[in-house]
Amino acid sequence: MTPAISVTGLARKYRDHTALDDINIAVGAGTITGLLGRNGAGKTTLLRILAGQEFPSSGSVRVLGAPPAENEDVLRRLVFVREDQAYPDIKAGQALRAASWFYPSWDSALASSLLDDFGVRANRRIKQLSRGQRSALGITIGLAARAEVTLFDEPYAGLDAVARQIFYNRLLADFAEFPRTVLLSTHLIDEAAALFEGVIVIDRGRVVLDAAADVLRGVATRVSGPGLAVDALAEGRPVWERRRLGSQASVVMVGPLSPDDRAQARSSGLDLTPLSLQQIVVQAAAGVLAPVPETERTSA
Amino acid sequence: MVALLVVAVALGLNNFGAAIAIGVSGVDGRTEIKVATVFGLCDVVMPATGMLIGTGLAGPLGSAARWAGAGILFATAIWGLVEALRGDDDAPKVWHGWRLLVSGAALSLDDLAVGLALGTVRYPIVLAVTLFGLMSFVMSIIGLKLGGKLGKATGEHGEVVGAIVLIGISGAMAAGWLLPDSRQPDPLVTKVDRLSSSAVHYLSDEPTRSGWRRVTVPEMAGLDEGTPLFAQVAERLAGEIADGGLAEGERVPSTNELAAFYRINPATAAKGINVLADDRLLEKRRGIGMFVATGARQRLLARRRAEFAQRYVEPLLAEAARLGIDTDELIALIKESGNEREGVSL
Repeated sequence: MTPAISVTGLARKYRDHTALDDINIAVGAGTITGLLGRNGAGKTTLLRILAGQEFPSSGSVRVLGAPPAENEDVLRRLVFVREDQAYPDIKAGQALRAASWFYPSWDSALASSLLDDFGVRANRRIKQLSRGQRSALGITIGLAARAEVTLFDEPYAGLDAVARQIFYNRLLADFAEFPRTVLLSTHLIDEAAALFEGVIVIDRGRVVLDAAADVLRGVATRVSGPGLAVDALAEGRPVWERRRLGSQASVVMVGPLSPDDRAQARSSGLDLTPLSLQQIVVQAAAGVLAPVPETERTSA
Repeated sequence: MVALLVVAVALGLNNFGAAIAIGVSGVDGRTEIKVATVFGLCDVVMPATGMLIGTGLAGPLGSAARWAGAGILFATAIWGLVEALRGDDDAPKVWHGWRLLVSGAALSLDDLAVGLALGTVRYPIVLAVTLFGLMSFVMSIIGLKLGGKLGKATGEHGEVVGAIVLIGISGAMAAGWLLPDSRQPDPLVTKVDRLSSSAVHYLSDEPTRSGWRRVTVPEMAGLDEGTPLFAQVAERLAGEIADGGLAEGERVPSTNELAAFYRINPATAAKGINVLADDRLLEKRRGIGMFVATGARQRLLARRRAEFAQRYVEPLLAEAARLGIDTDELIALIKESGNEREGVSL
């Protein structure tokens, strides 16, 4: 299967600042992928380049098989919902109508039902909408466009938890019916984790993690209990983090645990807690992905 | 830089045409400068405004702006025509003041959506806008001179001819001939139109956002983060089959039904189903869906029995050893709770 988005050797440099460096990713068609990373990691720059709104300094970018920049054919099949989209002084319904002219697969029934769900009235001026309602409008456009490639960049500034849940539910429901390639950048990893099939983590302009979400869950386990037992289990194994308090210790072990490991842990009274996707992403973005040598980080 | 120049020429083209029309109607040197200045300034202000409004909707709005511009230009042309035909002595004044401003704005209205694309993306904005303005100014002057020459040939009817030319330009503008977003244009000029949606300069990060935000609302209907979700889906389904909740031969919920119920990615749900299908606990009936295979329940129960010692007895013994409870005492405890349980269930 050809990937919907493929990026090789991509770099974006500003005068004294490297926003993206040697990015190599491939996003399969018909998948929902999370684009994660800290503020200023380069997520927005990457999405802007994918949406043809910015030019790479070097490297190649292909969206639906062609470079997106200045490519009408690609751009009509792509929708980019940015955080804090600015709108002209028009009504919400007019913004939807304008978007409907642009996107060939636009579904206006979906658009108005989404707007309803979010509680945004079509005849309100966008200027008078709250921040969250403006985000809801952006999300509505992003979903109703039914574009083959759908890019969401932190689309929910100011949206409350209920509205975010509506977004996740409607995204999943519409995605199930009309599969497309979705790239969603977000800080709310715990919330959105279940949506993702793949996860890409960027830190300081570099990809530090690119894997299937379900492979990551269960890739690391926090082992805690009596220090001697913890050491015995973790001996010679890759470990991310070590903490010690009196005779108690806690480490994060990388790699799946075998049934023997589990049996050993049970019999020596160790607690095993798998790390959630969010915890793993935090580790990745903190640059802790490389196993920590035993001499370091012995106290935390 | 070359690309930018070409765009500037493209944007100045309609002003050039209009300048010819005005030149035909006969204007003096001072007016020429005034007209060219206004046209030039309009080509500075409009793209700049376009940038400030800047939005992904620029594409659709661009065509609206085109029609509006053409309409306004048409109206000013008719206005000029009426005045020319009336034969008013004040006629030369028509290219001063409001009419001039309105035509200039109308001619540049398209730039609102189209103009700044290259400038914002690749080049410094000020440079781009200045270049557009200068180019517009120069092309207007050339147009006016050219029009003046033509005007001498047409003589007294110059103004009427000018107004008619202007009507023609408004028509061409509506049809999209003079604009970068017409249907079969020069490839370089098209990209300007497409890029206009990228003329969005609005970068503000939420000030409150610092680092990772932890929010504990994973709405996953009981699944927990931390173990592969597909494995949990498979586990749940297997549990239902073992408990008899899903009878043999019964249809298993579809991928999308599971995805909607657990609020997870459909691909993840599909993977969970596939785990059971690979295990022959489910069987596929083409075009209908997945069904619980015959004998699935028995196999699952047998497997669970085999795992019982490891999953429940061993931890029990380990904890008992820690507390100093010996085997006899443990057996007594188990019997006791067993009796209580039976008592309750009776």
